[in-house]
Amino acid sequence: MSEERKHKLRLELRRGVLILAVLGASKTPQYGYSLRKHLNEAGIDIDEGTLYPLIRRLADQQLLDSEWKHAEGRERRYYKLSEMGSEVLEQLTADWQSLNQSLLNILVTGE
Amino acid sequence: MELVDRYMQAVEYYLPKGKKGDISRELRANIMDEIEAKQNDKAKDLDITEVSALLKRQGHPQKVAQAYSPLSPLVASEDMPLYKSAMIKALIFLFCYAILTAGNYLFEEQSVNAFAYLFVALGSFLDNIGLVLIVVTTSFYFAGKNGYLNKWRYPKWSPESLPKANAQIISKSDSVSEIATSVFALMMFSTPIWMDPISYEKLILGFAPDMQAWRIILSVLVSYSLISAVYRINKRYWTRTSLAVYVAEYLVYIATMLYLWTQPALVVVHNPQASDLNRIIEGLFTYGWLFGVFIFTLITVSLIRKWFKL
Repeated sequence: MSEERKHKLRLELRRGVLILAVLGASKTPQYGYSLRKHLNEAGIDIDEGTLYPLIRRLADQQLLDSEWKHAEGRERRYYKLSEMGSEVLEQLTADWQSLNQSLLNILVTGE
Repeated sequence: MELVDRYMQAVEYYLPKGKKGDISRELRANIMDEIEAKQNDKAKDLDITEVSALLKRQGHPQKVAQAYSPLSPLVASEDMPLYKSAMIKALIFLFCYAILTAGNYLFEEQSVNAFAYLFVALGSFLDNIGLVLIVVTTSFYFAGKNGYLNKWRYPKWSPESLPKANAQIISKSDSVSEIATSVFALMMFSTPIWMDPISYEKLILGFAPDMQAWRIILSVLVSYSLISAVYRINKRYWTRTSLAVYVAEYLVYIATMLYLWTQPALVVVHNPQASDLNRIIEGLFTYGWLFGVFIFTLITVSLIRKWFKL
């Protein structure tokens, strides 16, 4: 299989998980770059072209609240998990844990 | 920062007016954060090459704009089967319209030139295909955007309502050619209705005066064939009933042709100047009916064999 195809498969695998990661990392207010750094430090490498539009989409879906703030002489848009986002995150986390457990069983034992 | 300004301007070009300001403001803030972070890491200002590399990593301006504000497709992928089906039906309609246009041209020109017929039919088809494409696609775009297509995507079904495993497929091309033939035949039978009297009087060929009743009989028969062919376009498989009805339709045609074979000529030469053609036409029709019976019998036999397999 070509490297390009493998890369696409990896992207597909990560796509859904990234939403969970962004929602989880937005429990405290974050602006675009700080969120990327936060995820990077947690071991989730995500490029700007994917993360920034994703945050906006989640805000459009009212899962994140956003507000412009002036800090350190610069203006930044801060995002924070909304009430609806918290409910969704709770549900998605439970789904993820259950799915992860089932997947581990399949991958380790083959059952 | 001139490179950043240039980059932002390029991204803004691809953004919709309503979202341009907000997206641009946020993207610029994010880029400035990235630059600032790099400068802090290096403990010095970035030079033009480094800023250029950073902007390049953001992606092509059009790609970035598309990621922030994706354009909705004209037809969603889940609506494509419905779109394809609507487009095929629209093209069949257009095809019939082209046949009518070309037929009208031949009648008015008193010509039997097959090339002229094909040329006019093709011209009419190509003339209108763009309009059909725009109308169907635009309808799907707005219907899809407003959620009207949801109920049309997948009609109600159950495993029991699916065709049997040995079901015979109805040939779409057969149905289309039947529609085209029926439309053309109906056009010929109804010349006194749609042609202006002067052009009608000039026609070389026409129904024999004592056979005028056949105009109505054949029109009824062909109209039925047209309706049943249109019905079959929407069906994918034969059922025993639908195939039996189709066989019956062919049997009626065979009986009709055999009867007409025993009758005086159905079509005669109207124009006295072309009376020499009368004998040729008479001969053509005598053998034409028998040839028709032969062909229709072959088709009927194959349909009956298909029926037994159902």
